[in-house]
Amino acid sequence: MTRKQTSWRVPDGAGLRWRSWDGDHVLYHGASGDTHHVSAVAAAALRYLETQPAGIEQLSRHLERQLGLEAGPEFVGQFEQMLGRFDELGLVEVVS
Amino acid sequence: MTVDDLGLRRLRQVFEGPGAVIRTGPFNARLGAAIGELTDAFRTLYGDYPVLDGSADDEIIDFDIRVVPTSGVRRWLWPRVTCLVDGRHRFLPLPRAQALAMFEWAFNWCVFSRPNAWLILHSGVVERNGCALLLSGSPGAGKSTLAAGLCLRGWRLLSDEVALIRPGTRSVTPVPRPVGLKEESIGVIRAFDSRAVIGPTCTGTRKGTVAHMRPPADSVARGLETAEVRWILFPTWARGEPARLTPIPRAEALLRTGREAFNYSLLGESGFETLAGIVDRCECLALRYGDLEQAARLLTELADGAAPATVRRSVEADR
Repeated sequence: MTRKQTSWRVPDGAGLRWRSWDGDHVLYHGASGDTHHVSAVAAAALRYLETQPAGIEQLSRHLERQLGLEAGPEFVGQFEQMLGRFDELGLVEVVS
Repeated sequence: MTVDDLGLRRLRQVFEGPGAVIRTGPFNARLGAAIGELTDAFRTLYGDYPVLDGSADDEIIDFDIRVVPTSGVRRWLWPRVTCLVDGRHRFLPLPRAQALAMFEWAFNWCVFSRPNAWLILHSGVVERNGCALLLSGSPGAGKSTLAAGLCLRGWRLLSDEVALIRPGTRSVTPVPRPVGLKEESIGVIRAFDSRAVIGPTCTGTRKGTVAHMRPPADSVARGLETAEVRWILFPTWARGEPARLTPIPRAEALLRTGREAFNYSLLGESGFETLAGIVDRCECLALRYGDLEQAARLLTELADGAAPATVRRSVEADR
């Protein structure tokens, strides 16, 4: 599977709980018991991946619509890094 | 009947014998020590606490704490004490001069480590006009000093160390105890109000010089009266600075308060939802202060001028 074809999703049983105040997003991850303070972009991405699996392109389009971002090549690279970090934390998994 | 009502002679018989059973908030504790000077200190700090008979079959004793001298020949050269909790050794021995500090730490340990029926935050809690103020932040931030100062200016003490919150509520269960003071805060409280009753000073402990302030009698008497959290405050002692309150982001308040909690992770989602529910409905403030009187006045004005608690819910709270 090429990188472009890779899809991620929030695993079943992740147990994510959210709070958002004045543009600040806090996420409780039931599977690990950890609480994270996440950016608006990260929050929008994770919330989307809670509803359906998606690859980079689909996610980028969603964030462009949702947050009014212009997802150029640099943004996509950063976004891949962020997904990698989420994967390490167990917040997302690659869909095989 | 209170500890003071027992009189010194009877207190010695009980405290140095089977142990005195007192009630603090929701807990019954059997406390004892075969150490004369600790009886005097106990009387100074716990004089207003209700004493229970301790013999009734239906009475539950939550903690049994006993400080005793160590045995062995070394005790003649280096007198040391140890502490039994429910009959078991839980702590390393300390010099006899630190017996009171050990007693208080053991009592704290019992409160911190047992009751998972509550979300347990490492925060002081004081109350005015029915609204509770959580004093949060890392050790050394000045929480106990501020709690002591506020108590001496008419606030009710629920606890200087620990906030017990029923999951799913903002309701704090009091555990009024002597207020632990360290290093220069002992002198600050002595100078702040001559009515402050401060017990013996223990020097050279792992926390430096420590002493304890007797809690106000009214706070002890109202030990079963809960209060709802209205403010979360992060105090910082800043020498020479005027007292100043500034709002802090709610997300930051949640994360900082959760970091200092004892069982936040253990309670899982319930811990998060409880803490988030409190943050939803509270004002979250930072206080920098270099003058305790000024800080107490500022917070009293805040409490006296407060409108009925407004409900500010996060986006997710309605889902």
